Amino acid sequence: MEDRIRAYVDELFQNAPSTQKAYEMKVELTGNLIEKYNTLTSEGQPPEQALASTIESIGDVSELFGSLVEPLPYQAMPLQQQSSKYPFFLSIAVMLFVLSIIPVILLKSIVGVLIMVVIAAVAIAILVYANASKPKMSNGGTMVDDFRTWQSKTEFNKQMKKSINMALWPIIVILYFLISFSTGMWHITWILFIAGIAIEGLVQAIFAYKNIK
Amino acid sequence: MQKGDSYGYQINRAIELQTKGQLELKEATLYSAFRRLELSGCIISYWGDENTGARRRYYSITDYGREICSNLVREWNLAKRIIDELIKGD
Repeated sequence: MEDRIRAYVDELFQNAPSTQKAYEMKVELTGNLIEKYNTLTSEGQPPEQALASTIESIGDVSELFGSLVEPLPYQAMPLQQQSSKYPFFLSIAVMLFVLSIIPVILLKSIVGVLIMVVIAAVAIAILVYANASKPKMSNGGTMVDDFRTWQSKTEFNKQMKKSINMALWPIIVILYFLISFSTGMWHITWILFIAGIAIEGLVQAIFAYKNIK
Repeated sequence: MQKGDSYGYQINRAIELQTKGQLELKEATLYSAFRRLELSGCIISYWGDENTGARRRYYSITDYGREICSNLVREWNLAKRIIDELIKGD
């Protein structure tokens, strides 16, 4: 009987690609089928019936052969790859925010403040652009995909929002003291805190906008 | 596999017994799943060194595989609950 199983598998694998993997698969399959057959007969099934259900249990091998030729990339974490450029834009924007203080310190005049505002505007533009151009989940197909996208998206959004807000206020406090001490314009620098509230609102708006999309 | 390294037939048998015969995977289905899991680094395989009979290919779960598994189980439970509530709806 074992020979009949072997012969059957040999026939099945006639159309298989002749690779090392295919050979290993054949050996593995044969071994497992023989063991299944032996289990069935030891449970009291007549040999012919045991052989029939063993062969029946193989199923459609064509899907198997496909994986022996070209590797199928398994997309366990499709969401992490898609937004690879987003963190890059984000870090550039944050860097610009931080650097925007330099002209104020160096020039110690209204021109410095103006340059800072311009740099900050560029940074905000980058942020908005990065968010807008963020690629969306492509292979929308099953409900499970959608659900997974939705789930990781909200999770990601929550974390992003939290970390931006966490970074924002310390940066503002540092900026406040830096600018105030270097320029001595204590009477006006408190406006930074209002700017902070504005940025926080902006962050909220960006996330809300993203959720709508 | 989280309970220890195992080979094809043993795994299928365990699936069958644990589901009281309601789920019995086709060999082809099982092996293509193994190949995909191996390619993604969730499991690794090696040939056992049995002295008697056919050699067996053993499968072993990796740390990455464990992590993915617990994530998927959590996701599945959440999805199941939501779908249950949805179809129960008034």
